[in-house]
Amino acid sequence: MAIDFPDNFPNIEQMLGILQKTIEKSWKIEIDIDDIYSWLNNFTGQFCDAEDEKRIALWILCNYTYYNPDDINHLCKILYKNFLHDVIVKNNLYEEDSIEKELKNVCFSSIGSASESGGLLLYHFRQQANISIDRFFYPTSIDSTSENIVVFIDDATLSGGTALRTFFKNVENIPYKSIYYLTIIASKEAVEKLSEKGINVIYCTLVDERNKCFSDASMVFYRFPELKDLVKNIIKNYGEIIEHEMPLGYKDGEYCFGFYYNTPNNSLPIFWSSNNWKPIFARKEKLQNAKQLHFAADRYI
Amino acid sequence: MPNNFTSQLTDTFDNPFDDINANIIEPQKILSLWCTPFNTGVLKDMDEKKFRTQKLPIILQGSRGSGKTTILKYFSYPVLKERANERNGQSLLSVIKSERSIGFYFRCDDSFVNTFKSIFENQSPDKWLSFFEHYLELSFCKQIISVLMDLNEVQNICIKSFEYKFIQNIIKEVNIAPISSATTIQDIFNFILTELRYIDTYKNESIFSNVIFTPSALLKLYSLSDVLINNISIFVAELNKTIYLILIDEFENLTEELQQFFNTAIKFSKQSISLRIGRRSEGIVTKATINQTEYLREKHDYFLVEINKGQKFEDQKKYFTEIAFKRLCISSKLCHSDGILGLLGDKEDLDEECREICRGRQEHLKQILSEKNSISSNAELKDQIINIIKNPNNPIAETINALWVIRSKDDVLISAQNAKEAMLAFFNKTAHPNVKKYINDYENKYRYSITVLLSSIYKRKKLYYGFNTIAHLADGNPRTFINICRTIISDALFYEKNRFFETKSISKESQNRAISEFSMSEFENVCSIIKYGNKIRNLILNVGNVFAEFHKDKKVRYPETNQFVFNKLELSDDLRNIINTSESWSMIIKREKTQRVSASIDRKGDIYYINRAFSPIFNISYRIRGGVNVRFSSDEITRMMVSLSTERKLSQQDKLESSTKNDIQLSLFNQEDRPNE
Repeated sequence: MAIDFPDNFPNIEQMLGILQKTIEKSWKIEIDIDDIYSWLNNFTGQFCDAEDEKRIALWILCNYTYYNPDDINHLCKILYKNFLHDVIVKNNLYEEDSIEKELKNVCFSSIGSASESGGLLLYHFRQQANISIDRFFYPTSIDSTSENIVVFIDDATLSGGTALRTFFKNVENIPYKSIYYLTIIASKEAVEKLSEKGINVIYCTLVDERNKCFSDASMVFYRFPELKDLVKNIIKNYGEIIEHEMPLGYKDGEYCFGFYYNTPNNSLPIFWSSNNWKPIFARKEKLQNAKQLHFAADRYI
Repeated sequence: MPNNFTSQLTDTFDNPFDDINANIIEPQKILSLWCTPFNTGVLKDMDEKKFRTQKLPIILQGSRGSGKTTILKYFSYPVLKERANERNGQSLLSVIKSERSIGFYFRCDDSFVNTFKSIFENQSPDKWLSFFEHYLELSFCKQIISVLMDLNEVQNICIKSFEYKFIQNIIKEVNIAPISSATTIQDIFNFILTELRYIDTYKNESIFSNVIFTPSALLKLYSLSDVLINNISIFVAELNKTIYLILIDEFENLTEELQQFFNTAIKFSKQSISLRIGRRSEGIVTKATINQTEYLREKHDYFLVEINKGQKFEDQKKYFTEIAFKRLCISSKLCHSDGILGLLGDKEDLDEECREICRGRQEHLKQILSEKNSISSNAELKDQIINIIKNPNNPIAETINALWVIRSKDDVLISAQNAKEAMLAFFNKTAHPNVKKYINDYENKYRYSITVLLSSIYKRKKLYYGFNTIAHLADGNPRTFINICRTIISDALFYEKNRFFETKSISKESQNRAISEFSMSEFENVCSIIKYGNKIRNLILNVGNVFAEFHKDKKVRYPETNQFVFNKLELSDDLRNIINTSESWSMIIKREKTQRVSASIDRKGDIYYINRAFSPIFNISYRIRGGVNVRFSSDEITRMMVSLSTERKLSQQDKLESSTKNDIQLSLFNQEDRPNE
């Protein structure tokens, strides 16, 4: 079956041109045409004409947002500035001394375990905010008093679940003056959920239905609404094969973004899955316990 | 699959042509990438020493991207310091002494100037120029004292040894109250910094308040700097012959009052202070001074140095080769013994390109032969002729044969035979009465036009690739050249990375794709930022389309037509302004010398062409040829600015030519008339 593309839908050559510029100017990552073709070759024409499948895959790739290290640094800086602004306003701090004093009572921590990406993000954050290392804590050992402001740093909160779990697990029973959740990306739903618990959420990007690839409000298909359902079927069918549990991403995320250090599972699996599939932005899965670890020890002996 | 953390940490390849804007390039890089334009085709009759030490001010004029900023920055103090660093064993002081000049760079940022003007004009309309003068003098003095402090820091001089007398002299010679209590050079420096900070703070705060501007003293240009310089020459003997250059860049951005202010500074310059001014073109700046009766006179008040004036194409190539060499040498992966030629190749292989376009097909021969009435309706005759003239291995040659047939007044079969024999004589190097003409047609006159025509017949785009092509497209403009190279390497990194690093060369397909992309994006970018952008965009698209029509002419009557003429004096003031803006932004370019306006017209005039870099948009030739120039009336120019409506000029030209000639002979290539003297 061939797809009846609208006349103004870009062809493969045009989209490769767009990607070339995006990669050079924005993503700043070493992806070339071979990497893209290698990924496109996953689309073998199982659900419609192979060339048409590749064309729609390229279209979705053109709509992907990739956060490189410079972006992360910049966004961490923004997060810190916004956090400072909020602290100053909420606490009526007008003198430099009083601001400095207040900042000495801030405890920063990441979300998740020490080895997870939260730790890496915390490193970016510390570099950009130029904060002393003694103000950073493991989530499980936050040294807080009722004078303290506890701040969690994360890259994305979409359902709000992980953030709430961290809160209940690590902070609920310790004293603090206020609690902040600083995240690069947040969904409206997560912000509401966390705010209800008295957590101040500060974010750089608020994602909503428009950012979901196949929602009615999707920005990806706003020019080509007639293609949306057809494309969704194809992407979902491939998703079923490679990530049966979450063909459109965790909790049907349908998102199209990722960070240089990892890709969230809320994004479409066609980008990140490695199950008999060549990903364009691979995801490093978390191994939650020793049983999940298939460590080929003999390779290292 | 590149997305992992480690891939970010690997040694990534930096495009050696990435730094293109001299405004933001580090001084060290300006020095390392420096290719001297002095005493080359770029800047004839001007050497570095003269440019540095000439007391008469110099105006450096050149188009956008011609290298004015790089030249001015090369003479600035930060780059001088880098030169001193590179010359092991030579102190900063000895380098200044040997160069006999120090330059201080000031860029006329139009947003800064406009903000300054609006804020201070609001404060006192008749005084805002004085405030600007004050600001400039403070900035100049700050830089002069910084040099002294640097020399002291590297122990080339000892300020302490002369500071007391120096300060006493300054206090005696200038009547600036806040300085009267100074005891050290640092005190004067602090005064300057405080005043500059006050102006900057005032600039920001005045938006929100009605505070009155009250500097602690209002300095006139040179009131303090000249005294400082004179005393430096007394106490630091090595600097007693040093000229202090104020390097003013982007002069055309200044308001008319400020231009007049600087013109006055040019006219009444000081013994040890001179100006070097970078600006685009004569037409858009004033020569008036603040004194309404005094105007600047070239060679009397200043020297005018024009970048690229009369530069020969071979000199341009030589200069570009050197620019590329310096950049390629920085990159270990691209350090190529054959330089840019090894990377891009030199000239296009038009024979090969035509073979790839035609792939043994004969459609082009059929279409060209059909242009002659006696052949068009007779398929059998057409086939007979094609059988005689065909040469599938050489489409250019067989196309020339077809053109000879349709142009001949003899019997078509005899003409075909004659063309074939001339072709064979040419290839076999044997004698034939028409072989000389064949050589000219094949090797010079029609090669390029036929390639474009064949591309058009087979609905392909003419390929643009090779160093020679890029040098033509850049048309002497280093920024365009560097930009094209950058785009090409960027394309190769994406589309053929392995091949690129293995062979250290870039395929013609990749080059062509990048050049086409550059061409279009440069055109759109410039149109989007300039005044009258839409009108200029329309004009260029319309003119380009007219040329494209000429290039598709199956009779190839006017090969490579890409120049046009119009009478600027007939245009309204508004239209002239638009034309001036497009010239200032090098969207259209006026040939340096006036020439005969067209092959059949014995009248001289200004000849224009659209920026060569835009040639790929229209699939037209980038070469400078003589012959026919398309004439546009002022009405046509007006129409073309308003909307996209391509004028039918080929048929008009045809009528014009047929009324003056029976046979079209275009043998005026490369003939240029002498300039008006």
